Amino acid sequence: MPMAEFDDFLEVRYHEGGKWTDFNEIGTRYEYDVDSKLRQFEEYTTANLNNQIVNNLYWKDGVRQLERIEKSTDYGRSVYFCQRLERAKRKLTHSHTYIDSMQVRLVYHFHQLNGEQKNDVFEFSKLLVEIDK
Amino acid sequence: MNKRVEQYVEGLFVPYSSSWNERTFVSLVYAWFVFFAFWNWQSVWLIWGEDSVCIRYGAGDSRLNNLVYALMYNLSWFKPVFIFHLVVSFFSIFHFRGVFFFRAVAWLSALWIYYAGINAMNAGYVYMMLLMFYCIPYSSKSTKPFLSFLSRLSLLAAGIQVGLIYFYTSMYKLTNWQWLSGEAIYQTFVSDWFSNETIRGAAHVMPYFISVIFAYIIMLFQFSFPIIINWKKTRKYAVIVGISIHLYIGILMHMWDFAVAMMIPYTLFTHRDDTTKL
Repeated sequence: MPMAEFDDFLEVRYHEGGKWTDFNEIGTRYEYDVDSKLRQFEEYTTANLNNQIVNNLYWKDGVRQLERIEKSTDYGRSVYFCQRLERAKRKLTHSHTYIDSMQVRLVYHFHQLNGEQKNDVFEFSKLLVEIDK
Repeated sequence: MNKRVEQYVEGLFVPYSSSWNERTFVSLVYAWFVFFAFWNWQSVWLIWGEDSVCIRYGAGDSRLNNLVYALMYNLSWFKPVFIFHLVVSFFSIFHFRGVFFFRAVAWLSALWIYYAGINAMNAGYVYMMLLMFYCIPYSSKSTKPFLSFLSRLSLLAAGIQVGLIYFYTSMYKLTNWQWLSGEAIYQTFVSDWFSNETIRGAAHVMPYFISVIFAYIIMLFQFSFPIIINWKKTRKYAVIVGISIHLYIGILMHMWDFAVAMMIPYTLFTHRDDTTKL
């Protein structure tokens, strides 16, 4: 497998108690280590989402269209991943703040190779969710 | 030539008494699964079982699929199976009469665990499952010809497996422009996930050819591994280079389970005469 020329991060935010939280990288938000199996699963998830972007992204009137990607299981997997982590966190912290929506985004951090450091962000649609406990 | 082959084949069946490094190798293979469980203790319950963060997917309805994916379809089974796996893996570390059954069950439960969390696993787990499988019939002392043959075959298979992994990896690298140009190593140095601040900073200022040198050392090492690990004169250096590479992978690339899995077989190649010299 070739070494990637970028790192990709899954970030999430929630509509919690009537306000949107900031986007957080999920490893930071859910406090798991870089050598954790969760991190490995995150890597698998972002790699698949990245493949979806490579294969199903298109432009319309100069605007990036993500709807085909959002129909994929890979996107569903990343949403489910965040949702279940949030559920686990709320179980631990006994949080009762009401969450009704969430949004994920994929952040690319391209490696500097004879040039400038570049980033790119793919922000997916806001979703109505119910985080059960 | 024919006589030599005959002697070698006959030698496989004579009563077998193991050396410490062979026993240690087999013990470490099973100890790795105990290490894996405790190292990942916090995330285990979020990857497998009822609180899993992974989407369950459907595999074709065949007897083999139903067997290997059993833990994926029956989430509540995970906890007892995992604890059982830990117990049998622990007992498999030791060398006693009947350990064969513990080792077989440890392998089967490892297979279940692997297929239920396949998306969170790296090659280290598959590799250790292979070694675990080879070590099932191993017995540290066997007087019966067939058992002696099985013990020798276990170690031989494990040794060949390790050699093949290094050799095929080198074949892939030698045919890949990213490795030939040294870029693969550079990308590892500057990665957010597989590096750290110090290495990233150094990679940005150091001459690019250092990445190229590292890439060629690794390719040469992996390509020649089956020879240099079996040749007495080079064995010590092969062990030092191999352990250094895997320590780097563990410490700086944060892949401890994989790094430890790759280091374990080096005990198999450490012969008694080498260790007395060290």
